[in-house]
Amino acid sequence: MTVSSDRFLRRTFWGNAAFSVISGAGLAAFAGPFARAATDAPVSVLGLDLALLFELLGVGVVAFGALCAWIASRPELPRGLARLIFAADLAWVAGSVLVLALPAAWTTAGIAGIVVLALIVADLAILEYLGLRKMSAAN
Amino acid sequence: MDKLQLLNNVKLPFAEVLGLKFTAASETRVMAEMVVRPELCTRPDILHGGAVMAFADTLGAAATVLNLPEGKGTTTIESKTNFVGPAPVGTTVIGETTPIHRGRRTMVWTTRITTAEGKLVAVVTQTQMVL
Repeated sequence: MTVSSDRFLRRTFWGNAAFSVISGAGLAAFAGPFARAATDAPVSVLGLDLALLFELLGVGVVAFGALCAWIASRPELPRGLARLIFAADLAWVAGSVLVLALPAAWTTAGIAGIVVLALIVADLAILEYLGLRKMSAAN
Repeated sequence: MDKLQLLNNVKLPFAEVLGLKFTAASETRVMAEMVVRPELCTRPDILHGGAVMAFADTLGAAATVLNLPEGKGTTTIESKTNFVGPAPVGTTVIGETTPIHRGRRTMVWTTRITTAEGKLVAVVTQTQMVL
């Protein structure tokens, strides 16, 4: 019989939860200054200005972080939700590439912010992939 | 949490199919029992050899789990069974697992399976790898 350990994946989710809650709260709290620093000219997406978009995004990321914490705290790690978080992280990285390709007047600080966040999320996605693979291999 | 409670609370789907229930648990001794149901039997109505091995395998793995360092897993890499006597349908078999070797990389366990009356059914020796 095989008994696998989910400690690696569980720790990754705790890390993702902490990063998401802190960065999401920061983004929501300082949405205006971040929006001004990220672009040279006012940007609007689907009729929403960038500051409001950052605020909504920040709240969403905090909720995402809370979901990660909930998953990490379950006695038995829910595999389906774990895969969903992994897919969401991949989507964030892909979305970041698309955003950078948009014809918007991003400042250097804006580009750096998007790239750094995408790299951190990509690292988390890699750790989640390794954790999921470790659990699958042991079963 | 108490070790016996820990083993009985861990969800092991195949152990549930077998109807295995842990009755004693420590780092050096794990015991469990299982009723020989008709669906676990061969012809004639005695416990199927595969069910005997699965019963013992679960005990050996559970005993390993009680000895694992934090964050480690385990898998069976070798198992050998001596079938000694039959366990008729309707009886209860009792398994007792004790260690032969408890190392950092592998653990070797032997499981004696008897009927409730003490008649020997099988002896299983298995090796668990620490993951």
